[in-house]
Amino acid sequence: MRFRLGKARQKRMDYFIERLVDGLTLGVICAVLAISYAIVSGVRRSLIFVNTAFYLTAIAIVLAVFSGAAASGFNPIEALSAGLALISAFVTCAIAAGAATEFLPAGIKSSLRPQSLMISIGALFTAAGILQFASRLHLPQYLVPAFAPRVMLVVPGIIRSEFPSVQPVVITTGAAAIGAIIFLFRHGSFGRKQRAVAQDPHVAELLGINVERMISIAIISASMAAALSGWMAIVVSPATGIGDALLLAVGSFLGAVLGGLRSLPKAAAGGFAVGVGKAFWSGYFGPDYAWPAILAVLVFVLILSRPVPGAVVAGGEA
Amino acid sequence: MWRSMPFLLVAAGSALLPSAAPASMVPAAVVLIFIIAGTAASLQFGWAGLPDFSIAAWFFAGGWGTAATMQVLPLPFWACVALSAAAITIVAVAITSPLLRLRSETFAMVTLAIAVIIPAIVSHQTFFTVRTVTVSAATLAETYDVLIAIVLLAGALAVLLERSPLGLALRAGEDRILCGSIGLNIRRSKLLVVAMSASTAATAGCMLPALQVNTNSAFAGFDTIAAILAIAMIAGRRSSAAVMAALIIAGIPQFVPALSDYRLLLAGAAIFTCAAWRVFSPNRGGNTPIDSLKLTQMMEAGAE
Repeated sequence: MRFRLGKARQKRMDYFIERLVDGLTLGVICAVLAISYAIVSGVRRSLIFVNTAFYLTAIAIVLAVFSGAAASGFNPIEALSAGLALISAFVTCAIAAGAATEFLPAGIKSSLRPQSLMISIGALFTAAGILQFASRLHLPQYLVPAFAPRVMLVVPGIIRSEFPSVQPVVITTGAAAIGAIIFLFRHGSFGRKQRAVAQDPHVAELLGINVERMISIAIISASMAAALSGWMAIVVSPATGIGDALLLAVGSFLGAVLGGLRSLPKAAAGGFAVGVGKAFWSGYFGPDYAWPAILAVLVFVLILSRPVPGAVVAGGEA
Repeated sequence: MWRSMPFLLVAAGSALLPSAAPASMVPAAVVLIFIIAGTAASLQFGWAGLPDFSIAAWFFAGGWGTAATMQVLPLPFWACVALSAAAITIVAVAITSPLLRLRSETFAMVTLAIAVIIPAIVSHQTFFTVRTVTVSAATLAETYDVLIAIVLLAGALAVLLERSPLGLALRAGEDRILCGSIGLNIRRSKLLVVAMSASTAATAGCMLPALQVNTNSAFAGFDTIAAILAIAMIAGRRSSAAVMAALIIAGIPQFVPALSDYRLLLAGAAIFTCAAWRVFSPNRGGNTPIDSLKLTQMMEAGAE
C-alpha cells in the first residue's frame, strides 16, 4: 500500500520544502560571510567594515559582469558568465585586500586608532557607492529569476516542490567553501600559524612566524570568502540592493558574534541560523519585516547573553 | 572663539542668502539641517568614541514623526516639532543604552542595522500613511530662521562641551583605569552625549516637513546615513570642521544636482582624504592623552 498525503497537507509540505531550500541557500550565503567576519576579527577586529566593503564590491562586480554578458547576448545564468563573474569578484577583492594591507600600514593595521575605523567605514561607503552605480546598470531586467531553469523534487504522493536550479548550485558551492576554509584554518602548518597569530601575535612573532604576512593572507582569504558570498547573493537574487545587501551583512555578522567569532565553525553556524531564520520568516510571515524581526531577536539575545561591561565605554577595544 | 567661527560665518551667510537668491532657500535649508545633524553625530563619534549609525535613523524619524503628529493632533507645527523630538530622544536613549555594553564594532554594526531598518519599516508599513505636509511660505521662512538659530546653538553646544566637565570626563573615558581611579561613571557621560546628539539630530529631522518633502521616503536611503557619518568622522572632536564637511558632502549634491547620484562616493572619498591627512600627520587630531592629575584639577575647576 502506497503512502499518500492529502491534497492540502501535500501543498503545505511542498511549501515547507521550498522554504527549506530557500533557507539552506540563504543560510549558506550568510555562513560564508560570517566565516569571513570570523577570519578578519581574528587578526584585525576593526576591519569588519572593510570586509563588508569587499562583499558590496563583489556584488557590484558580479552585477557589472552579468550586465555586460547580458548586453553582449549571453544568457547570464550560463556557467560561463557566472564563472567569469566569480573570478572577477575574487580577483578584485583579493587585489583590494592586498593593497589595503600593503599600502595603508599606519591606518589600517592599528586596530586601536580612530583612523583605522575611519578608513574602514570610508571603504564601506565607497563600496556602497560603487554598488549604487552598478545597480543602475538595470541588471534585473536581464536576469529575472523566473526565467532561470527550475528543478523539481518529486516523491510520488508526498512532495512535488519546484525551485530555481541555481539554489542547489549555491548550496553545494557554499558548503564546499565552508568545509575548505575550516579545513585550511584548522589543519596543517598554515592553520596552526594563523591560529597562533590570532591568539597572540607577539608570541607568534617570537616563534618566528611572519605575523604581517599571516595577517595579510587572512584578510585576503576573508575578502575572497566575502566575494563568494556576494556572488551567491546575486546569483540567487539579482535584484539585491544596498539595503538588502547591508542587512544580510549585518545579520551575518551578528550571527557570527552570537555563534562565536573565535571559532570558524561556530561563526558559520551562527550565520547559517540567521539565514535559515530569515528565509522561514519571509516564507510564513511575509518578507517586509523579516530582517527587522531577525535582527531584533539577534540584538536582544546579544545584549542578554554577552554583556561585555565597559567595552565601548572604555574606548572601543576590550 | 575661532572654533565657533565657521558656525557664525555659515549663520551670517545663510541669513543673507534668501534676499540674494530666494530660489536657493530650500537647498540651503537642507545643508543647514545636515550641519546640525553632522554636528550632533560628531559629538558622539568625536567625544564619546561611539561609531553610531543610528543617528541617521533618529534624523529620519524626526521628519516622519513631525508629519505624523501634525496629521493626528490638531497642533501647530512647532508644538509637533517639540513633541516629536522629545519622543524620539526618549526612544533613542532607551535603545542605545543597552547597546553601550557591546564592543565598538558590534555596536557600530547594530546601529547600522537600526539605521537601515527604521526607515525601511516606516517606508513599507501600510498601517498609517503620512501625507506630505503643506506649510505656508511664512512657515518656511520661519523654519529657515529657526534653522540658523539651531545651527548657532549646535555650534555653541559643541564648543562648550569641549570646555565642560563632561568633555573632560569623555576625554578621560579613553583610559578605563584612569576613570576607575578617580571614580568617573563614563557610561553615564556617554549616555548623556547620546541623548544630546539624538535630540539635536531629531530636531534637525523635524524641520524636514516644512521643506515639503515626502517624509515617508525622503532621506531614508543609505546616502543619508553615509552623509551624516562622514561629516561626523571628518569633524571628529573639531566641531568647526563639521560645518566645512557638511558644506562639501551635503552642499555639493544640493547645489549641483548632477552629482547627487554620487553622494556615497563623495562621502567615502572625503573620509579617505581626511583619514590619510590624519595618518600622515598624527599630531593634527588634537587627541592628546590627558593625565589623571591634570584631569582632576580641570574637573575641580569645572565644578567650581
